[in-house]
Amino acid sequence: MQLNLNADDALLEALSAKADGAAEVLVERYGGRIYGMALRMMGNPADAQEVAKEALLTIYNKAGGFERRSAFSSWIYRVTANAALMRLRKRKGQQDELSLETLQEPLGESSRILEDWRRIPSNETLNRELGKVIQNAVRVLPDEYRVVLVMKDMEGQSLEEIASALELTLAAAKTRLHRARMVVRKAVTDYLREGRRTTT
Amino acid sequence: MKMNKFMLKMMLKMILHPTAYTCRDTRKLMLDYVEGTLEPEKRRKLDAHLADCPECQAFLATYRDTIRRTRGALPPESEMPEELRTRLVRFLKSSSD
Repeated sequence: MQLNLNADDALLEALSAKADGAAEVLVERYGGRIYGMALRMMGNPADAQEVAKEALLTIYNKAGGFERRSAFSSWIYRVTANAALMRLRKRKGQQDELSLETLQEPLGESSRILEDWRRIPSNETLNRELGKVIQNAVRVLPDEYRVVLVMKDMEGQSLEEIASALELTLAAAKTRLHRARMVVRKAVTDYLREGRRTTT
Repeated sequence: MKMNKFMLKMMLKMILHPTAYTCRDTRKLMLDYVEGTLEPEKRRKLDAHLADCPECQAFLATYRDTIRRTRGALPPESEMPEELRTRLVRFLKSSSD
């Protein structure tokens, strides 16, 4: 049976009633986004598949109780983020806060960093390599930081939505995002400097 | 500590304009500045600092570039495999409450 579920409201109704075709529409419309977000948070396809499965099951079974105080898509991000965090906690246990000391830079350093960044040639190979450097920096971030960075800078969620999804204060979400960005910035700078040293 | 021209200029600015933002203030507010969530008065003060401070201009440029590059660095395998899609639908149907 072909369901006409163009709007999220109709999809929610269909999911609540466990109507024929509702699972297909849910996976078709949101499966890719859920899986993509899970992959960026978990860093490997096997864990991402488990997170996607967990998140979709929660959405499928709890759609009837969704109170519509936020957009359906925000709820989906929230459920996915929580499924990823649960799995990450099981995987590694709680991690420490990022040390601020490693993120502070001496006066004059920003100008030197900018000089390095300005030397980045617009060449496909280097950009691909830089992409890998960034992916790796994101992968090794403490979980609580990576989730915020992925949701904001990769998935485009608002800071308010992220804070609400992760049950953080807005200030805490901002602090984590800022520190995570600083780690990525440092990784790119280190890579550029290292590359220059090995080519000179 | 050796005092360079830039540091002298910043110190003089702090004496003449004690409420003006320092580099440290600027870094603290950078996220809100970039996100566009800074209150107008703070934004004006931060713009004034940036206009005079090449160090913070450099910080802002690389901070913005970090965001841009992170956004473009999605893992290549982010497409959901078709086989997984089918398996997930089957899984949902078999395990509903």
